[in-house]
Amino acid sequence: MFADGSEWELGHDHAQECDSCGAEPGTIHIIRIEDGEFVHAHLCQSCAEEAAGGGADTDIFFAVPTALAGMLGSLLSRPAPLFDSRASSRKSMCAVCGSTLKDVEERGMLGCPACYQAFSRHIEAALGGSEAPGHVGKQPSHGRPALEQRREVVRLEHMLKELVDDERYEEAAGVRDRIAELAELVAEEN
Amino acid sequence: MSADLVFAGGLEMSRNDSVLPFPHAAEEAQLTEFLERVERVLETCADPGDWELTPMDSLSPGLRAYLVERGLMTPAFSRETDPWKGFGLYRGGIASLEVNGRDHIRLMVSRAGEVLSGLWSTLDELDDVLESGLGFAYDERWGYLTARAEDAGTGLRAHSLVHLPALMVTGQLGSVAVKLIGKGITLSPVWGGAGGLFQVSNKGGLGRAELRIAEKVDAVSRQLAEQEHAMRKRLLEENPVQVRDYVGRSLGVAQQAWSMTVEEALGLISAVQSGVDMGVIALDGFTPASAFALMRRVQPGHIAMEELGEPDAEVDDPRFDEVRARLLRRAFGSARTLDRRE
Ligand SMILES: [Zn+2]
Ligand SMILES: [Zn+2]
Ligand SMILES: [Zn+2]
Repeated sequence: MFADGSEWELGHDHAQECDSCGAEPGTIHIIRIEDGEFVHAHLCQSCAEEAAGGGADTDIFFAVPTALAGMLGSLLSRPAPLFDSRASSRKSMCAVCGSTLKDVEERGMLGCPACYQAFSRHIEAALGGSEAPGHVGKQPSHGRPALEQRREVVRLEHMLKELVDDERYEEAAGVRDRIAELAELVAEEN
Repeated sequence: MSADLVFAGGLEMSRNDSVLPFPHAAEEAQLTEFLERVERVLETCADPGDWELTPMDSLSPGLRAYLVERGLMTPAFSRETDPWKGFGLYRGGIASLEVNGRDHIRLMVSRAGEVLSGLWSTLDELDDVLESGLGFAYDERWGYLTARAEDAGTGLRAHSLVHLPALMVTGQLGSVAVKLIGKGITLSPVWGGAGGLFQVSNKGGLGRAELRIAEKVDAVSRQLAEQEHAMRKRLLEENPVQVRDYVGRSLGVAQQAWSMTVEEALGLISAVQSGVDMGVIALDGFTPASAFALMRRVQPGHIAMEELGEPDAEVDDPRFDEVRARLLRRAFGSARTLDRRE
């Protein structure tokens, strides 16, 4: 009923330019009532505040932020951060799950925990740049055993799937054996 | 006092395995294996019988709807039917767990009429139990790692349900919502705004600790409830005839109708609650908490599970509209409008 609020996922998470000024990203979905009809617009924070404060506040039905995941994707269409060129940034890939920045853009989601390292600069920029606040709050209190081996298993599982898709069965069999060895090792350590 | 219009609240926490791809990118076999691991951890680390874990392909439509209406399951997860997605219930509903939804783990607590900061310790302890057996993805800079970058950090989402019909009809909420977005708080209508119910929740998990997030959502909710009370008072002073007419007509329909949709029922309950609050309707013992309980009872899942006892009933069953009208006739049978001089 009220958990998650996903009833308001509006089906287009990708941020676009502000409908009003066209300069800033439109980070807020605004639903207005105009002549008895719902009208949907995307505004930046300052244009939204202006619209809300300009005496016309009665016609804003509601306002919710667009998903940040969309902003992560839209970074590709803005000037490339630092010295990274757009082409090479599109090719950067997570070594563990195989997700590319293009995948992340399309899905609005990262592929695995290691993606946070692989795409750290993009995530940093999407979350507000270097002055973005870091994590404050609870931290894990337990160790995480066999992290490296488990990461290798996931990497190999991804490789295995691609080999099978390409019908390279002999190589796949070798990878499968290696996964079994590692899995045994992880099981022992746990 | 003014917090009485904050009907309910909850906390949700997202966690992921430290290595596996997030559910949308993982293989079925990986997710099946993860669900089995969760099951083992709940059996070995928690007290026996505390947790009941069920695969999503074995839950009836009525029960799913009921769990969503009670704040124990998220709407998106309730549509899932894959056997490798699991739902866990802790001690009959004190907390709940979604496995392999958007993130590997989503742990939730929710309560009617309680402050959010009071729920944190329950969630924190349950998280410790899971973490001791599972090991969660965590990074010094980004905190707990989640499928969506915007959730990373505490992985915590605090939400509360506030009854704001007067602020809604006077068109105040759009501009309030815009201002709140700037402060990292989202205000969004629940059920399309039917009954004037709104959800207050935090956005983003970085830069603020869990308890502070809960307190912030609590504080904003209380402020909104205060503004709502003030607006009701002003509405009655400035437009007594219209207010009495609207509230009185709503009570008339609620007492006499024999069939009604959820949206209509919510609107009527909301009007009667406001009427009682403004002293325009007399109805003994009808508190904001009873209004909220009734708003829950008229939902399809509650009707299927509690009124009809048929977990497999289809939600478009015409009996639902009849049952709903009967619930309102019963609840409001003894209510009457008060004359101005009384
Ligand atoms: Zn703008
Ligand atoms: Zn939109
Ligand atoms: Zn990855």
